[in-house]
Amino acid sequence: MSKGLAALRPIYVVGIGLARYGKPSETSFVELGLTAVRAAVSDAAIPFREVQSASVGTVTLGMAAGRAFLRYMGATGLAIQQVENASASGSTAFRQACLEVASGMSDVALAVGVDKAAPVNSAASKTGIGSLAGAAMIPAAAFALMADDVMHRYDVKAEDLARIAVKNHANAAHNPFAHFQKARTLEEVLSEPKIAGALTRSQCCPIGDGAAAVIVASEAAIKRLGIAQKRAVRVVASVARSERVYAPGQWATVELTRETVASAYEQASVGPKDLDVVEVHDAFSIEELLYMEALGLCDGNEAAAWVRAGKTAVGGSCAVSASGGLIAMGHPLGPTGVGQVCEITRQLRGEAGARQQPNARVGLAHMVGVGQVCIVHVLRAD
Amino acid sequence: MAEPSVRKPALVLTKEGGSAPLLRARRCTCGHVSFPPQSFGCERCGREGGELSDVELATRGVLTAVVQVYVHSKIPVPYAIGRVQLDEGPAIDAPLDGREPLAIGTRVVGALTPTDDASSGAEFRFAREGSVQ
Repeated sequence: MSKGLAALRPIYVVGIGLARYGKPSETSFVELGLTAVRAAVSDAAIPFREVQSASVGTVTLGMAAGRAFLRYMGATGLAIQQVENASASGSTAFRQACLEVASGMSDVALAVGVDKAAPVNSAASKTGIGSLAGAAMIPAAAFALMADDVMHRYDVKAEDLARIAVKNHANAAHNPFAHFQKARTLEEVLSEPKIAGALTRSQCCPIGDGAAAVIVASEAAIKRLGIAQKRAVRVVASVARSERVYAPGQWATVELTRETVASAYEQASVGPKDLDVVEVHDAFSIEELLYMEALGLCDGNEAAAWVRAGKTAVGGSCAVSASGGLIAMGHPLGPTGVGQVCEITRQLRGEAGARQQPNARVGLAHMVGVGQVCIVHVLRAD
Repeated sequence: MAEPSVRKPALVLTKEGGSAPLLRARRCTCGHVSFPPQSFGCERCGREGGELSDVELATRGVLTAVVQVYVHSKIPVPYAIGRVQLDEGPAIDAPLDGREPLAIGTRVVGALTPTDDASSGAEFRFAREGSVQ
């Protein structure tokens, strides 16, 4: 019989920190990682020596990234492990930190994602199994195919997809850690060069540099270290799954998300109506629309109307991608999933400033990684 | 005239007589068809070895999604790519014949299209059924 977080001891996010996501730069990963970790330690107001374990999510850096920058926090001897799980690397690092603390093996654990934009090296390309589409199937084309299918089956127009990008760029304009920080009009988004199908440039996420860090602690550590309990945000579900074989006509990323989210809801004893803030893997605008349905926020025929009515904007019934999402906050790979947890935590603390969702109590973070894998966490303000 | 050599012969099979190309696949005793073909094991049930056998799939089907790609670092753009629900089961993604726009619901069939790089052989693409032999 497997256990969910509810069967283990309570765990809390007590510190968050980011290094701004952005275009590839001369700033080293050491500096990016340290910026995020120091910010998280400072936010938690604890000495770094209290951190017993670090899970480092990275895709591009190569082996043994953690020691190469964490040593400059003071070499405390903490446990270090590196986690790679494609786009879900950061989410998986956060899950490892959660499991260590929930199980009692650590009292305080760090999850940090750090990456520099660079070519990636995938195992799937080494299986010897070819594909008909090959290099022609760029990621934007794969998701544009989903968009084409959805626009054919449901009341969804190219403008509706563009509106998702407009919303997310508007949110990111209030996020000092976002890759893009400029609002765009619907006309601007629609008139940009197309990448594939209906997807124009700013409906596709930027891949750049960045870092994000989160500190997870037990109740005992919160008491012992004098951490402010009212700023601690409880993690009530952590679920990881991978793709199964789905029926023709179903999109794997959507069905995998549906299954993973269902387990997370059960573990957290919440449902879609309880969600105030959601961060999803919106690498392309169409994904956010599909995940709204997979999360149960609305059905496929309602999704576009929800976007048009502003129900997923900050101030709507459930703010989706309040950070700007992958589309506008950016997708530096390793940091992305950790950065989502930073945003949910900020929102549930009521510290998100101009992009604050009013009265946010429950949040969900969702990432998929190519392959495919899916990681979902639910956080709750107690 | 000799048949053109085919790109990706591990996936695409041609028969004498100029009929539409076929796709190589593997069928498990559970009924699951793997395309592209592989011998590692069945993705649905985990069976392996002799439980998997070679099959040839006819390439007739229906286009269920289609897009133009406008940006690529190596392939000339624009080009069309689509998802096809084969009559014989699997849904597969492949390049489309770019001579005419194809809409969702169009009946298509595989065809071998000569490419600019003659040395690398003809490419498998889907085209409107009836537009090719």
